[in-house]
Amino acid sequence: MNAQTSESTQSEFVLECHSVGKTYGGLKAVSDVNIAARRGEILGIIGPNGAGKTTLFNIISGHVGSTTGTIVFNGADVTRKPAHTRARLGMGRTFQIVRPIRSLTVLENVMIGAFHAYPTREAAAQQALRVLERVELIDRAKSNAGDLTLAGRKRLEVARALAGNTQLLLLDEVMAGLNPSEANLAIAMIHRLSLTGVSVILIEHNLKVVNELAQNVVVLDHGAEISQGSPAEVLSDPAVITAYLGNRKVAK
Amino acid sequence: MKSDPELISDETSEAPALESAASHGHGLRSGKFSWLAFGIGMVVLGGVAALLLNQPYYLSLGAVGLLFAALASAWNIIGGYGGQFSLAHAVFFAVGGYSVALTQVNWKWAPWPGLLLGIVLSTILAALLAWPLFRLRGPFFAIGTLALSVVVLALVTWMPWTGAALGLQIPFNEQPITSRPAWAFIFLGFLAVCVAVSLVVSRGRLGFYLVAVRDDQEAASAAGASALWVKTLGFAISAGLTGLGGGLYVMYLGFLDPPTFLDAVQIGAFIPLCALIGGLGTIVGPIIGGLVLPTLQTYMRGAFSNLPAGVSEAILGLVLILVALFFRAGIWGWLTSLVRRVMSRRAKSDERANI
Repeated sequence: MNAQTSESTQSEFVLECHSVGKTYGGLKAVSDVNIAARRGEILGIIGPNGAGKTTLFNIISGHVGSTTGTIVFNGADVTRKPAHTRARLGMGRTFQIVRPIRSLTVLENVMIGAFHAYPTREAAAQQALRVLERVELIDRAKSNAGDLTLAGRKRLEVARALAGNTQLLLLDEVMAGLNPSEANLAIAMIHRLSLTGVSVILIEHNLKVVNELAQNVVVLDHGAEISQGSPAEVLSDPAVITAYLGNRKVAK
Repeated sequence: MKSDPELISDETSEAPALESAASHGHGLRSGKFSWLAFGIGMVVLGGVAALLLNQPYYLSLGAVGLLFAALASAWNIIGGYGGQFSLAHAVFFAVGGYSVALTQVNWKWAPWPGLLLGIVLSTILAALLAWPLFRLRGPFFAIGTLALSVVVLALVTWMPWTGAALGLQIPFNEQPITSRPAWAFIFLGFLAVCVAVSLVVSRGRLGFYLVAVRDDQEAASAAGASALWVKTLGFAISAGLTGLGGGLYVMYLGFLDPPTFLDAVQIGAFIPLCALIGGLGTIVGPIIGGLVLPTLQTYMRGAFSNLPAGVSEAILGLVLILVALFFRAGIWGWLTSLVRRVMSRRAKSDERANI
């Protein structure tokens, strides 16, 4: 909503997926998905369990190779690039099941994410502190990563993903397992991050979260995209209601 | 803890609160303190060696202890920080040994260029082997490296140009350093090199990446670390130091036979065990393990010499099992957690007293 002006030389989209597909044996986990995330926007990806959301995420981040299609990040084709190269290009991701480096402190965990952009220890530490402040985890900087609460570990994941001058943040169910007040804080945090110019793609189960945060939503079902548009459009799409919410009549 | 001057001197100064948070690094990784401790530790070890100058038996025990402390420190870079349990370090040890012995025996080289050649060859070999070996993860990597060392032992024993099973003998009058006490100090110097390299690696980007790759390879790659590249670099540095150790060891012994350098148990598994018993992924642990384990082994061989063969090995095996079961973090890890527990208890009782 606020982005294009500052980076006029770049293309309008930070990420484009062109007919991306992934098959495991005969199973189509993701098939022919086309999505495009505008610079600075928050794009939501929703869909029932097993719809292929996380697989799509893994394809975008490079942790899983796609069988078909191309992925364009910042105008460059990254389809064949490994995950660490994509991270260095400015793509940060969190994992659905949080993965802190348990033998390190919170600060050191974030430094891991900063090192590729800030190669010395001192510079990485300074950058990590700046990021920890942005995600409001600064007072736990010295704690062991394993000692954080779930909400804290989710913030740590976001911090590590942000630390390397990240332009596109991929958030895989960062709200899952949080209580309502923690979730509200997380929503506010993501909103703030987005205002600083970071583009966000988030996978969510919670429709309320998507409704509040996302400017655009993609709905997946059985690995295929069945709807795309603003939250209001998507949530009133009959195909989405049957696929995502089952047969129950839902009055929103 | 006092604040870390290195971080504060950085010109991109944030608020003071940030700096003090940055300065409280993670144990051994923090600041100048570790270099001070390094200096003190080396001086203490040197002092102990000097005190033993008139005790040739203990001095030679100490020399071997220092050698294994250094080898364990070198192994710890990839095995401890990187978590890649290499059983192939005997190969790099042998590459260093053969580099010195072959060039000296065949071409009348002085041992010093041979040492350098050993470092270069073992580093290159490790970098080349990394590509296939690091396709294997966890226990499969360990098995792959074990297989490699067994194959190399068989090759070396079979090929004539390596001296086959007889090995190589360096004539006594061509050995530049034959004074036994001198070797304790040379191995101490080697230990200092290995520990210094470990410190530099563990406090820098590579050390962080090694730990990240060890703990969670997917998370590390999502953070921008190439797992293969990180492991290859750690493996090559570790192997280069081990090659230097092999070269020094052949100079110390004056001969080289394949089992002394390439035995899968006595070298290949023994070096990792020193690091394991002392404490993996720490600076101090491998030093303790390297000093303790060979000494214990020699002592037990003497003490139980009237008992049937193998008793001392069996006892050593038992010690290893007990360590693996009850001291997972090794001697050093156990000591530091003990100190931490006592400190936190004291801090708590202080708080209570203040109330």
